[in-house]
Amino acid sequence: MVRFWSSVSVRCLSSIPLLLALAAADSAAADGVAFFEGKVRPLLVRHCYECHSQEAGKQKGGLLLDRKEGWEKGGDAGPALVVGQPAKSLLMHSVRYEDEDLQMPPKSKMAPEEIRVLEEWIAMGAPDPRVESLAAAQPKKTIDFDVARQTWAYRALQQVPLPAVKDKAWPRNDIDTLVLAEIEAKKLKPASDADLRTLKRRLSYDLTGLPPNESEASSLTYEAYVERLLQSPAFGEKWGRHWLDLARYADSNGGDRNYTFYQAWRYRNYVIDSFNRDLSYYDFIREQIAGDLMPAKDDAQRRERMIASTFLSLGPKMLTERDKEKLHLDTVDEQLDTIGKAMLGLSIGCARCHDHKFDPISQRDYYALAGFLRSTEIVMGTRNGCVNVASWVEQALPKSGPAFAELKQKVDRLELAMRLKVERDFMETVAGKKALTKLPLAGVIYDEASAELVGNWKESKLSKNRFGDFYIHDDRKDKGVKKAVFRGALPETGIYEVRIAYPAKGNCDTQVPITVEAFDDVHQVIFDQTKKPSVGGLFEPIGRFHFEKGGRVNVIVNTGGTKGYVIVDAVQFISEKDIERESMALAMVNGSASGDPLLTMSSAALSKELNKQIDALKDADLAMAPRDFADAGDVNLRVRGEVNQLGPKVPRNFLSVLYRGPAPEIAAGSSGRLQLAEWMVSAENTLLDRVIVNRLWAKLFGRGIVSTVDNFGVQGEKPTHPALLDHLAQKFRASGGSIKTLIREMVLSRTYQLAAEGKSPRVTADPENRLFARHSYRRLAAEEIRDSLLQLTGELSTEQAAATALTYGEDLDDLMKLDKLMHRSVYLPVARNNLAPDLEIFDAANPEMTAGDRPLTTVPTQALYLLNSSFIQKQAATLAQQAYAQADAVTWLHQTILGRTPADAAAKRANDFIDQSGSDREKALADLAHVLLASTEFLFLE
Amino acid sequence: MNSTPLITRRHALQSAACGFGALALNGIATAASLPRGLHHTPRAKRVIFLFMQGGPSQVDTFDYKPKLQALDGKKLPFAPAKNLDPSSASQAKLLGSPWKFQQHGEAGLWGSELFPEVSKRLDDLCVIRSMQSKGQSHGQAVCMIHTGADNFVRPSIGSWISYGLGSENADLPAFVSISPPATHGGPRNYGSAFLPAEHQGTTVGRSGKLGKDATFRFLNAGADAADQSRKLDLLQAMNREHLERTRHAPVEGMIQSMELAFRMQREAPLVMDIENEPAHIKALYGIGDAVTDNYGRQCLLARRFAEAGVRYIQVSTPNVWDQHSELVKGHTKNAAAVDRPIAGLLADLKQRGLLEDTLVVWGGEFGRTPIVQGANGRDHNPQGFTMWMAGGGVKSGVAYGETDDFGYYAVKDKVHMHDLHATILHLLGIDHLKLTYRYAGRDFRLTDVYGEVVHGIFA
Repeated sequence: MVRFWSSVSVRCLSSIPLLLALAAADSAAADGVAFFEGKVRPLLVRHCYECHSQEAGKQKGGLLLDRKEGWEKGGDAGPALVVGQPAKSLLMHSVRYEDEDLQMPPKSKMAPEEIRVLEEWIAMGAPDPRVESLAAAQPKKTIDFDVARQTWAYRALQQVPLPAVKDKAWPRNDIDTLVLAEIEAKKLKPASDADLRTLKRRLSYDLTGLPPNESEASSLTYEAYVERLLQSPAFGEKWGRHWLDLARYADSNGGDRNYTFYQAWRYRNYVIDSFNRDLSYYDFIREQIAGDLMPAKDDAQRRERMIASTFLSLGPKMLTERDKEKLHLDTVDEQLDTIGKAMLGLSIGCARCHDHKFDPISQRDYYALAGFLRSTEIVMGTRNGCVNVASWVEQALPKSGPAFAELKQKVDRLELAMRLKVERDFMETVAGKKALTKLPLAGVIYDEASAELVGNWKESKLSKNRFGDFYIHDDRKDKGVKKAVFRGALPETGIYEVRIAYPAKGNCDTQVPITVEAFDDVHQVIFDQTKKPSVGGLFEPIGRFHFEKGGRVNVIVNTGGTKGYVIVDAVQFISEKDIERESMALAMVNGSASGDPLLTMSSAALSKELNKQIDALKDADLAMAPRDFADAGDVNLRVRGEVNQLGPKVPRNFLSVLYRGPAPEIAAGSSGRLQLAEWMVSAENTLLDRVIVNRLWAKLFGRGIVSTVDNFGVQGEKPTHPALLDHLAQKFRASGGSIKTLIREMVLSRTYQLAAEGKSPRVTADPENRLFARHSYRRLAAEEIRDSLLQLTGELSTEQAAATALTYGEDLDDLMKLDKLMHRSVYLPVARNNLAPDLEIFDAANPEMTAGDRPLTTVPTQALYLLNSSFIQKQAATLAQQAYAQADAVTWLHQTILGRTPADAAAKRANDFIDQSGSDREKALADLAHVLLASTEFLFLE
Repeated sequence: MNSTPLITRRHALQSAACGFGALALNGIATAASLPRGLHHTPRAKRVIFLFMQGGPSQVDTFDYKPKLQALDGKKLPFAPAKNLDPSSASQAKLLGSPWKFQQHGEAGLWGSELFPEVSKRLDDLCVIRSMQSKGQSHGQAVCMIHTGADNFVRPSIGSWISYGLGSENADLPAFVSISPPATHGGPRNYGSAFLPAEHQGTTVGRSGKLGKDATFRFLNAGADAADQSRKLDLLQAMNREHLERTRHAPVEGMIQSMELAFRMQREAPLVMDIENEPAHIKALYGIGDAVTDNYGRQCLLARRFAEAGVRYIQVSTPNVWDQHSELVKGHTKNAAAVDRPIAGLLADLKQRGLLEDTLVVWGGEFGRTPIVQGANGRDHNPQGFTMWMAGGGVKSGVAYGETDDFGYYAVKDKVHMHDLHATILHLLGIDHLKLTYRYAGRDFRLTDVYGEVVHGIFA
């Protein structure tokens, strides 16, 4: 519409000349169309339609090239061409392969004559008779949030009256009533109650992950036993481990460099302690998202909360990623993915590149959330002096004393010295005698070749003191006309020192005018090119200026008003914080490093010292806690998820499907994680409650009410008992988020106490046990197997372990020897890419990602382990020694390992086995113990 | 001696199962994975992937660039790739190859003197000179070549193949990784991520080193077979009683996998015993020569696994190819260690008729820059590099795709790593678009949302 009116107004203003022009244009237009049809269209069809046409059903990058409107509007990167200006057209840019990230056609470059055709076409005004409208191509699907808000996962918790049941005597609590109603609706009856021995074994493993203590189990009532187990420290060790599965907890980075997370263990123990003292789930969530920002009543609470926020930092990272913005955004993505799955049962990560294909999460939602986390510093600096390897944020915990700060400073200095050493050694191997080779290349340097030159400048190699192959000078001609413009681009926002390189000479000008167009202002500087440059004899600082990343960074060397030679060699931008580093390097290069002994140490000595200090540092009182970036703020949406394809800025906000209010007020320089945390635990966020109660249920009943415990989205399963799910969620909310209260209610239900069944009408009618009309069998978890093997011999330590990973050094790639650690398995080091074999083969959670539901695999390696592992054989031998002294060793072994006496036939078989084993009775008993430990009866709960 | 109790147990199991057979079969299906079916007729049944960790240089091996030689020491006439180390970006000067090239065989493909033995077999190779990958650093690029993802945890290609095809040999895993990298993602590179754990690679050796006694984890070839068999009898009797009571499929699975483990314990050491190979075969692989012994044994082991029906065999060098400096010294040494073993493997596969349905793939996570880094090295170059394939339905004696005049950027018939993965799956009879796995609400595939099969290289 706008275009129409404007063209009409143009005609009205000057109709006569325009008519003439139109007549001439008519024939030109006909020629143009002929050119298009003859040369351009076939080319577009051949090279472009496959991915950019309605016919092919593809519109890659949002671009259609099968109609004029397609290239006019363009794709995600804007209009494909500028009519009449090939040089400014994105299309030409991409077919010429000028940018390695945007090359079209992607597989092979077009022939030069084809490229010329396109160029000519655009130059002649891009005549294009293809008038199909863009609207005729497929309209974009949008998310209907209002519809989504009505579905079971997102709507308000539903208050449903308890259903009537026929068998009124059966239920013991509301859970039972809700479950029984569904069973009766299917005309079935619940299974019989489990016998008490089976039930207590089930309960003991479910609540503590350990076999029952026989004397407690036999002396206490079921209810009293429930209380005993809930109060046991082993409860937190079992249920904390469930949370650690969700938090992708690990003691090492994995990814590209498997550096040890020395401080992660504090988080592990925080989780265990939180479950043991029944910390409100809402506080638990708050602290993990924003613990470092929360106020605290004392140092102890402050410590706890900082440690809790380690949750955000635990993910695997590609620390060698050279594009640091990508590294930051990948880290954000990993965090969003984990928060989404673990806390909300949503795959938020799917919306990074486009609106979620199935769930009501828009790409805008993603970047609204990403803003909170991109404002949070996780990765930073360098690790161990490796220039291209990023490290992560660690923060001193309160009460750590001054020792830590000193230590940290020393390590920082050592790392710096080490890096410089590496750089210097490297530079020394570089050929050439130019001064440059002795200078560490700090900051960003532009050689004269990258300047836009006005007028004729002369190349010279006269002086050896130069940057690069040569430098240029104005030859003292065309003063005022000649100038050299450097247009820079800086990686980070900040204060930079600008330096000019020139070989100083007596006939140079003493008052060279330089213009620095910085972010804040335009600055004029005059400087003297007869004076020897002060930095390395090559560069002279002209001042410090504020530049913004992506902002204006121009330095212009002028010749106006000068008389002597004006020389242009290079311009350097060095960040303020790199200047100290550089001066140290120069001192080192020049051998004038007397000030700092670090600079005269050999690489080997430095490395040794560094390792020593890092060793000391790993014992320091630190938390792997994040902190807010000083320049916290909203982030730009990234088109197709590409880091460098900026879309609009998206204000930080919560998920649209669950939140309709205005974007939260966030103070400048603050990430807004406090607000995010508050919203996460608000009653409005019904997913939080639904997801956690479902998880608790799944761990106790063998299957979630929503069986896809990490996915409450459309691709997940629907709840089998929606009323029960919401009932539990409301109870949980009303209890203030008490995990123990809900677990107690669940295990006291009659439903929990049902027998498991192999063959019954219930199994036939409901093989997956969606009705919970019987209990499910389950194999012991990896930790339960190892812990039981240690518990049976009396070797298991009940102590809480601290930093078990740190003795393995700076990376956890090497095989770990764990046989000396008698702690519960939850305390074993969790090395990414290198899990303890005893745990890994029985499906311990993969610490790379949220694992609400461990897969159950049955693979021969498990069988080989059960047959051959030295650990199980050692435990069997120990049990055999203990059995040897017993009057009835066979019965004792059955009782100890399986918790029951053998039936007569089984006892006879076992005794026969021993009798046929030859003379070594202890070995025979060890073999029997081995068999019992490897038996499915030991490995499965009923 | 061993077979008797085994048969007894099998009988006992069958009779004890009493109409329980369907469940038993299901148990095996989860335990050992049945083929999910092919999408089309396969050209190859298995893959041997010769992984050169660190990134060998294309312009010093199989991508001859006369112009690079001619302009040695001159400035690269176009912009170098982004994210280069300043030590190479600041100079951007061409470094001609220090090695002589010549044409080989009937097809006349170019090969440098770095790989004299492999060069003699160029008529068997399909050299892809237009590879591209993602990841400027090793961490990303190594994961990219093995898992198709540069920054996220995804199943490795061998796991996808195991998931898609299962094993040809019930007593051996479908995916074996010989001396896999311990760093740069380590086990991620043969891991199954969210695929069922049975599909992860079974390893033998580590970090490019194959110890003399290297074997599968927890395999105890030295166990007293009679003794173990007796224990197994008792164990399985107990387990069957337990199964009778519970009728629980995973219990059944465990009983089956005990049998499988017992068989594997007998079979696998036989496959891995390369000592009994005849002397001339060992010599063919360079075994016994200090320079080539390690990789030679890896390659010979790979052939034996291939013969035994393993689907995907990864054979890794140590992380040695990363010549940021001392290109001549490093590449000379590295090539010498693998040249004869690789040529030996190709010859051996061919003489046994195995090359017809075995796809051999050679390459590193990226190539190297034609511009110099420091005084005498080359930086990483995922922008354009060379990999080659042999056997398994690909053309032989051809080169596919091109880099620019200097071997820097791939410019013609580019083959992205995703395309290579799609192509490998295709050769095995799998459509990369159809081999998917539902995880966290999304159907994942090896090639993510990318990948085009390179039909142009098929024989």
